[in-house]
Amino acid sequence: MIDTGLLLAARSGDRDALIQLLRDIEKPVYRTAIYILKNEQDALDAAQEALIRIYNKIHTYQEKAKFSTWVQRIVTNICIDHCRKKREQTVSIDEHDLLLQDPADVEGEVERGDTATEIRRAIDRLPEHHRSVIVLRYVQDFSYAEIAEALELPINTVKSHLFRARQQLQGLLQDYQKGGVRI
Amino acid sequence: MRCVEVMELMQRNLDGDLTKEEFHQLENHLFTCNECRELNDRFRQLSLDLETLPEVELPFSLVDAILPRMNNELAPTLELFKKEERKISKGMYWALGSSAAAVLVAAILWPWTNPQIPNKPGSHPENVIAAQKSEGFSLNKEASPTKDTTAIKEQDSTINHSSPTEQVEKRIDQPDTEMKNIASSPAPMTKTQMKEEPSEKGSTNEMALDAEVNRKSKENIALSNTEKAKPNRASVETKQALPEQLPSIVAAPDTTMKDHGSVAMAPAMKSYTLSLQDPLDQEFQHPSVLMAGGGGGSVAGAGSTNQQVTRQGIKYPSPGGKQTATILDQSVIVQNSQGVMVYQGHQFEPVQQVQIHWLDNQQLTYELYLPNGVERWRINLTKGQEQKE
Repeated sequence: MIDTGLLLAARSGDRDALIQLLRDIEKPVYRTAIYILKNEQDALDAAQEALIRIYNKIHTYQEKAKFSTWVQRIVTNICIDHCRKKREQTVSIDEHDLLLQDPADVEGEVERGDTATEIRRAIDRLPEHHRSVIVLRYVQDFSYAEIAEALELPINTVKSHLFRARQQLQGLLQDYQKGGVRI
Repeated sequence: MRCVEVMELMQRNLDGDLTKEEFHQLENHLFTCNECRELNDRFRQLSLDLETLPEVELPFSLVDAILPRMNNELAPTLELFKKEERKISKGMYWALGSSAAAVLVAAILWPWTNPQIPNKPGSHPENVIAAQKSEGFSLNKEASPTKDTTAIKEQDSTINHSSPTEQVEKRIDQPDTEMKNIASSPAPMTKTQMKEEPSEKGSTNEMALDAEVNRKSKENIALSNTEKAKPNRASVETKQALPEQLPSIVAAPDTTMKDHGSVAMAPAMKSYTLSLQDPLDQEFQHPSVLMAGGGGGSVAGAGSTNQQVTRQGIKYPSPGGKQTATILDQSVIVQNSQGVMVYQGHQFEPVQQVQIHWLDNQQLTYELYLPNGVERWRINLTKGQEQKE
């Protein structure tokens, strides 16, 4: 929970307050980044970029939006951009790998770990927008409205992304379990 | 109800989004449909697993990692504001400086270029300069900011309309009562009069300086009226002082000095007045700044430190510097040295200007210049109270 006084002070130009505010939000920012980007180094880079952007843009924050949703909008946008750039850079390699790999082997590679690991793996396989919605819903504990505000999407679109994401996750987890049985 | 329709209810149920009626519909369907019940169980388990995902620990503090960049490379938020403000302010300094210089040159050259105009008492070039300086640019604390602005407006109009000699005489003859309220004037103009003093000066020194300044100012006016052709000490002093004062026509108080590019040229100040042309909600849109000396003097009150027409976002420190007052979203906010808000005043209507006046470290008053009059409020931090006076 963000201290309103701290936020007001940060907005009015108190640098110490702004630094403290960044310290308070760095963990949720990083959590979103690591779940969307899958990779620690990318998440650290994206989270730092988000914090710097917040540092420079704090004066543009309007109280119309919740501060946490404003922050999450910044970090999810950075992460989605990051994914897009990365995909553009690696698309040819990925295509090559997919051609060489047997789908059965891919499933076989998924080790039967604990449930959390399986879920992490399943989340990683979701499309970015579905992943973002899942992360905001479960990692940040946002409501439909807050997710809609953070992602600048209509509530119905948010619901649609969320329901599809859960269906996909449920399907993937079932596959992992089957795969595990097969192994 | 069909299974496909129930799927949405299952999902919405996970988010606590069902009405009672919908919940009963779902339960009834699950009671009769094994397939949906199994799917519902799987969804519930998935949702539970997602809710209990392990905490992710940061390997190190990201803020600590980026702090050096913030200190060195990145402009802090307020700096960005101030840079924008400075850009405009610098332009204004130049405009004001140029206008003042043009007026000065015109005033010096006029008697020679128009020999048909007889020299009147006080019209000798030297005395004209002295009179101009004593009126327009002197360190006269008694002169009000508003009068000063009137003076510079007249100086501006001199270029096009009338002889500077006449203007000077007019100004000298003008009683102090001919003051205009610049803050309410629609003309987007500014002008400053400032008092020279070291930044850390105490009130005793301030008073002594004011007395000296007033004496010099009176001397200058007297000289111009008695047609002394010989330059005297006062006029020489003002001549030397003028070039230094021109660039600093728009100046800032001690607390904001460092925020303005040209402030380095200006002497440090303690009291000042800033005037906004626009309501406070248009923060930093039009940094037309009026600066006038004697701000502290115009607000009666023991121990007064600053009289300021405040601007949103800028901090106005208490005498001890431990608290700062800020205007934010049309209310006065007081923060402690850690930046934590210790008091927030009521939210006021859009105003032309607000004057904040710290009485001591625990009390401040502020005046709201509303369209229908002035309201004065007092904040007592010890009692945590705000009262209208």
